Amino acid sequence: MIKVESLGVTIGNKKIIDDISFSAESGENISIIGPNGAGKTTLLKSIAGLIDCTGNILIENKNIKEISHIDRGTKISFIPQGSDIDGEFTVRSFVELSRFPYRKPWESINSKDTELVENAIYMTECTEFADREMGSLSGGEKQRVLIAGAIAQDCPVILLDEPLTYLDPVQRDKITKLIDTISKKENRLVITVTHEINEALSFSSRILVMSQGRLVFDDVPEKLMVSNVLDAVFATEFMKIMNPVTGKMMYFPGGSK
Amino acid sequence: MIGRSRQMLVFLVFISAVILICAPFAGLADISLSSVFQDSVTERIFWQIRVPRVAGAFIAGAVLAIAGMSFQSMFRNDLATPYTLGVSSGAALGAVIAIKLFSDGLFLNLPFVEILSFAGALATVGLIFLLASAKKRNTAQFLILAGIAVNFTTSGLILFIQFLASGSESSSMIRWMMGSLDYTGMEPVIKMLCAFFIIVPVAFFLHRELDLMKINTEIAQSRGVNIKRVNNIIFFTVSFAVAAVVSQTGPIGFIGLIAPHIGRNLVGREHRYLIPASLLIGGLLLLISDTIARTVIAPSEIPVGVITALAGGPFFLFLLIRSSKS
Repeated sequence: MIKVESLGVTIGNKKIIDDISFSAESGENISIIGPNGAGKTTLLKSIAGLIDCTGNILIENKNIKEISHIDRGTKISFIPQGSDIDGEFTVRSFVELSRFPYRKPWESINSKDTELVENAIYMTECTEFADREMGSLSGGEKQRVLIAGAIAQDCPVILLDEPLTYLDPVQRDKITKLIDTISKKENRLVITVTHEINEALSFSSRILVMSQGRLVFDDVPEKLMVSNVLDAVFATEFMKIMNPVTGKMMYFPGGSK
Repeated sequence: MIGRSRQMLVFLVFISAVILICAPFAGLADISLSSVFQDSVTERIFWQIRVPRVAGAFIAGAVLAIAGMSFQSMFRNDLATPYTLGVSSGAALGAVIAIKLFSDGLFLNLPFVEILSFAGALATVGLIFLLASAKKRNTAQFLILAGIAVNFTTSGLILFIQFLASGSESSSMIRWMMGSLDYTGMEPVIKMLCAFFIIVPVAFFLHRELDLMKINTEIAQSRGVNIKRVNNIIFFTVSFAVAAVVSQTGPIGFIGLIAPHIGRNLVGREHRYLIPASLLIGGLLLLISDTIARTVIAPSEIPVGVITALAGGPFFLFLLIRSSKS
């Protein structure tokens, strides 16, 4: 599905991403975690084609550098952090605009577009505020609308940059379950950058850990739990406590190393 | 919202049609519909002076409004204007050079004020484009700041040329910089109509790109918008169209800032509605301003730029206060 080969990003004289390679398949729900400044968002933006990089990113065996902008819009959907969105568009207009790569400039929205848009709005539970302006929504609602846009864009790959930031625990849970549904039921590859280690460990099928621009771990969450990778990259000793309900291990930062 | 937007557009089309039909009859000489067809002097005033002026005001206002709207979406900044990149100051520099060199503005019977102001406007944006084309510099922030720097530099040069100019030359320069639609015949109208037919189709063609860019640049890119290409098309189209208008009318302020704001209040953000709304509102604002300018102290005339600034500034403050309350 997607193959990242020797990816590198240098800004000024600083290597932000240093020789990263991995591949991923449809239906995977991958979380990228790591401390601030590790290069997580840069990696995500590079895969989305938003940042110039060295190395190769292949999607369905095609190099994204050789795919036109409009075709790329049918392959990869990127959701940035929701803080810098013009708030005067309505939810429905925003989701409808996700059909951009499939429509000619003079074409109006067709029945297939409408069906996908309404389905995305329904799936993300945005129906009741679909005609409200984005600026009037709460953080959790706005995040759901952004995800609705990505679903309506109908790409095999969805990239999310910190979708859980600033959300209360209930909203975090909703969004995490939504992301899980998109990857499993819709068989899409979802890659999420997050600082929420416990959510990532609970719902991801695979975890990538980054530190100083390099990939230092790439495996299933269970293997991360029995390693000391997180202690090393965050320079702290995590307390590991078993969740009595789910039986899964939960991480809490302890003291500095 | 969509139903309301459509209703608003229908209302704007109706109002525009009414004002466009009535405006040529307003003015110093009393003209009635029957006299246009009966009296040759009246007919000449009507077709040679009034109609071109009304048509020109509407077209110039429409072009400035679409230019302002396009830059506001491209820069994601509602305070951007058609003159953000220094087009008006470049045009003004060209005009004052022409007036200084040839005090009547003519050389070899060519309208050098018009030619040099057009060239000055294009030279200014060309300079900014060259500066911005360097890698990593082609950002909205760089373009806006470069526009401010160019504005300051050209303003300094204009002041210096004015300092060297005679009293009458200086007066002509100030008069040009106030903006005016004081011309006769259809030639200026046709030139501005060319600008209209370049900028309006481009804006309509890119309306979904403008929507996405206004929402968020990264989302726009992710949906398949080639940001660099769209930015370049808007940059050159707007610059050319504004240069064409400013070389005919002088720099008329506030229309390009206010018309899109009023448009957004009436029809919302979606460009498929905002483009026609801005176009009609810009045209109407300049037409009404010009009708006031040429009638309120007739037979004298107030430069239309004075009217747009006097009405536009307070009106913009009103909009700001109203939006901060809501």
